[in-house]
Amino acid sequence: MRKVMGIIFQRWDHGLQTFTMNRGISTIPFGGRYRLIDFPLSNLVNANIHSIGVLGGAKYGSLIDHLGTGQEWSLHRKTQDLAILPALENYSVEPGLYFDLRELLPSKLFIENQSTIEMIIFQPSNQIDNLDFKPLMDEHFNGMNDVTIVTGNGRIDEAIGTPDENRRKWQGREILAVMVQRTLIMQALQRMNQGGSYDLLNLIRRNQEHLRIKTLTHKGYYREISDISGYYQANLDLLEASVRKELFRGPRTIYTKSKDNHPTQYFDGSFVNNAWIASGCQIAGIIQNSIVSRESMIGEGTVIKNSILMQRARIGKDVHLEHVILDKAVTIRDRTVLKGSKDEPVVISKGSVI
Amino acid sequence: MKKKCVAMLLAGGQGSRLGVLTKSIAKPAVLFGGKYRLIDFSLSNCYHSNIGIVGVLTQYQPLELNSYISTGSAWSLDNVGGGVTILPPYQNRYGASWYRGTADAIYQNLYFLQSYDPEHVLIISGDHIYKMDYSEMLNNHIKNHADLTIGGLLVEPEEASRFGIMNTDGENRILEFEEKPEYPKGNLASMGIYIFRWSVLKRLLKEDGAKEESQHDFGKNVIPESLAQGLDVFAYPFMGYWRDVGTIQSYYDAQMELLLQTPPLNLFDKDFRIYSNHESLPPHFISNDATVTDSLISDGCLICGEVKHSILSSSVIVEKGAIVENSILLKNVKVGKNARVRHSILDEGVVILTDEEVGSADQSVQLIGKEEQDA
Repeated sequence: MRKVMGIIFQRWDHGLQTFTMNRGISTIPFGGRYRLIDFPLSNLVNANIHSIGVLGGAKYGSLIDHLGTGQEWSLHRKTQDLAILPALENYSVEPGLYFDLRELLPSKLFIENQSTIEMIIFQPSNQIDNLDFKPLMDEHFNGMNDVTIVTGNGRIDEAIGTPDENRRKWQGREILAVMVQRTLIMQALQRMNQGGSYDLLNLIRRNQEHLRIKTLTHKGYYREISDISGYYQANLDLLEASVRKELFRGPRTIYTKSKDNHPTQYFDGSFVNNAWIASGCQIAGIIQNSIVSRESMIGEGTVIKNSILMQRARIGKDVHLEHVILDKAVTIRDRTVLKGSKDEPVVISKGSVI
Repeated sequence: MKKKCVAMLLAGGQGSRLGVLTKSIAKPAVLFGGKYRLIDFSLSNCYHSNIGIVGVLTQYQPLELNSYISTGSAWSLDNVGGGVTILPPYQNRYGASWYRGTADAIYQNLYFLQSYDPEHVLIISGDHIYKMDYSEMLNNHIKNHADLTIGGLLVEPEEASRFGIMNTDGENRILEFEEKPEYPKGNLASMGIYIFRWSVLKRLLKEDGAKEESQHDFGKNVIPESLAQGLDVFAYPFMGYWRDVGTIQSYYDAQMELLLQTPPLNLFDKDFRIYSNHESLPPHFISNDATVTDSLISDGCLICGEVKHSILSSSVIVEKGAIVENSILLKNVKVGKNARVRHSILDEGVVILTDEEVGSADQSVQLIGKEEQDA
């Protein structure tokens, strides 16, 4: 089997700052029990890629806590490798860039030492999809491509054509993943010491005449999460049967850290409709069109509509929440009313008591 | 490597009174409370009691149980130099034999215990529902300089004849032990939890193994024998929640207790979690057409019908118009459109067809297995 490495990197988190005060964009909770990084990480694991570097940035505490030994993703075997790569000193992700290769400089050895690796897959951590990398990798290797870019619109069979025709197709589209031959990344890292271009896509664009580039498109569901409304919408997408089916009921599992919670308990008088509810909750109130994360408690007489509750929400009695996003461990006192709108949901930050 | 206390977990029983539930799996592997299997309680207790070495004795239908226990990592029992070891019956140079009783199962694995040369051996079974810190019982055992300490529970006097009954003095020293007595003198029942001094256990089991007429059972043979020999045998009264779910009715009742506003067994308690080896499943989804009240719902379920006062294990599907009441649905059960399930236990993977009716409110609990369905 051809050996492949995955690099999961963080994009600019400006639009999500309420969530990223104390955590990186990768570990923003999503969909009741997941973190954003679970999706790109599971995509790699499901394609049998076991050498994975995760760029944690400056706020990597929650990442270390979440990934642990990598056991939940079967990445704790002796021959397999999950590494949280150190951040560049004083570096923060810049807007407009796709992936700044300079971020790999402190971990050059991680790439250099794994000499059997032929190709590297770059995936951002803030993207919800269930990508099947196996056929994409086959395309890359069978076509002897230098670079294969997976974009998010159109159909996969559009990619058939000569590399020449295909070369520029990715430009102007949403990019889900970039596959690059390892030797090219090594060369770029060598040259970087002498200054020069450092954005992965810029680099590809500049050298496109010399490279064998192919664009492939993912026809399924995907959503990039770069602001609050995108985050809100992506969560609510899980109420659609087709999205749930594609992300969670297909052959490729999305793995996450398990919590050993008790099943969720519904009390007499609870009324729940169109809702996605994780384990360990205790529910006495009314929930509609919402996502409720693990270990949340919803009091009697409370109504929750069109809202996203992250882990360990403590909601009192007779509370009314509509178009609200609660970060982890938020407490809402009895009879509180919070209402946002579809376009501007109210966001309550981690650990608040309201 | 010398150890203070090693646990031996008896998990070989068939549990024939649970009918189809144990047709293809051992009793300790039966699902309970949505996501747990019975053995989770004993294994989690071992973890919380800091007992790092557990020998699990399997015999009846062990495949699912063995793969479920796996490395023991789900209960953090995969530590270096110990952890969980599965001990099936085996062949040696004298021949091969099944475990002929609870005592024989341990007897055949004396070499396993010898390799750790512990001071004490904890013997527990894998089919009881309770949370217990065995280290408190062990301290008690050591404090009493006991040769054997037996976990005991006060039961209703009318139930006493179902258990091994211990008659004790004021210091909890056991004066008399009667296995399932017709006319019980007391109501302190054996929970089937024993701590033996290792040297004493080794001797007793060797003696018992040599006796042709013995049934090689702790309750029937080894314990009466240790009293007859005048050993120091104590009871350790346990005050907490404990259930034996050996019958369909007790299996049903113990789970329905979990639906109470304040259940006698708190499984939300984070300080004493019951761990289980579960698959990575997405949250459950409750559709627009559904109503769910007074129930426990596990990960991966898809509910489009009505669920009342029921317990649903993982990945159960309840289709539109279906009604599920007072029932326990085990893993991967599917209830078809407009079907009605009342007062029933549906075994793993059972499919109830569209418009089908199962169980009724005024009958005893109906147990539906997969095989019966295929017929």
